[in-house]
Amino acid sequence: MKEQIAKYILGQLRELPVLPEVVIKLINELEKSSVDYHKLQKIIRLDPVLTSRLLRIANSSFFGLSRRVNSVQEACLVLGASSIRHLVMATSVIEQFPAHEGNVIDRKSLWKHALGTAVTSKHIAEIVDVEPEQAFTAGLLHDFGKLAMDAYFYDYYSEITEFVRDRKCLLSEAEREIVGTDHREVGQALALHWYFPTQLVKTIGEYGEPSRENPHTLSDVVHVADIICQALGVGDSGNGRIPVLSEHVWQRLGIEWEDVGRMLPEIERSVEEDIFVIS
Amino acid sequence: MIESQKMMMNIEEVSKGMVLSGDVCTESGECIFVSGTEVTEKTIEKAKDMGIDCVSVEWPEALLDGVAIVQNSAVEDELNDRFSGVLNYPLMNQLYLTIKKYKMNKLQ
Repeated sequence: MKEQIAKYILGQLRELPVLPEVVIKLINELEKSSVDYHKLQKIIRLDPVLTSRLLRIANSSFFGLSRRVNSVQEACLVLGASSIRHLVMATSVIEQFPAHEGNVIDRKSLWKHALGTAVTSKHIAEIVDVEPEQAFTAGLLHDFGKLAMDAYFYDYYSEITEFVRDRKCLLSEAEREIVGTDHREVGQALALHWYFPTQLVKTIGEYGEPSRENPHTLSDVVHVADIICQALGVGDSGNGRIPVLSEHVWQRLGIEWEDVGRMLPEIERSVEEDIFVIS
Repeated sequence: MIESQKMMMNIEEVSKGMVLSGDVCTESGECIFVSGTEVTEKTIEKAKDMGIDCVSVEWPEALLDGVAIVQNSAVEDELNDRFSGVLNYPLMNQLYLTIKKYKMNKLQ
């Protein structure tokens, strides 16, 4: 039965509308090590929803400006490079997942966890020589399969979350038990359908259990970042317990515990500052 | 050790052992308690009778130490609960210790 459900879910994903071209362009642009902000502004201007959100945030009391911000260019100056990156990425993707009365995932907590994983991934990437912005994007989107399942298959998700609560297990274990697939497989299938960059597709599918034989550093980075954030209690990933750090991943990355200790205050500070921008 | 701390507090939350860090005056300007007075149940009662809503108090170090112990224990309980079932894995044990050290330092 659950094999049929899995087949149904993965089949339905292929029927979803493709990601708007503007979003694909944005994701590709934001993954680059040095973002061309003129180009970025041009892309943002093509999306009225994103433009209005950008202006609304730049004009909010959070930034305390005495004058009104009226243009994308000015908003970019007010918000700063890093916030624009987070806002664009989060807004573009989250808008693809309609909210329903039956949704069981606390989206704000999940985004907080995603943001924490993104910030942590960026810190780890700086240590292990991976492109930090690529790691940030991968961290931010690593769990987007959960959003997809909750948005499109929420009938199953209340049973799944109940299973997690009762068994204190991982969400992916409950998902496989009840619907025969999990958010990583769903996320990877959707990322492929939406033409996400190859590295991102691979990470979304593998970060939970990175391969021992075929190492993929970006998946390793997000694996460690995800677990650090769950252990630190940043947001809520939906799991009933913390996943266990993989020994072979830890050895491959060669991170020191002192490095982890140094990044913890930075993770909490960045999340508190930036959650406003994406929530 | 946490240094003593001054704060404005609602009279309902003030408890004995705290020390007033400012004069307490009525609306007409009459001073009913001077700064440095140790709060007792009678002080609280009189302040309420005189219609005082808020007072400036100082938490003595001894009281703050008590708060710190409770906070430390709450952090430890939360972490133990979160790491339940995974502490027998050496890496998870190390992660637990790293986060615990950070959280405890943050409280001080």
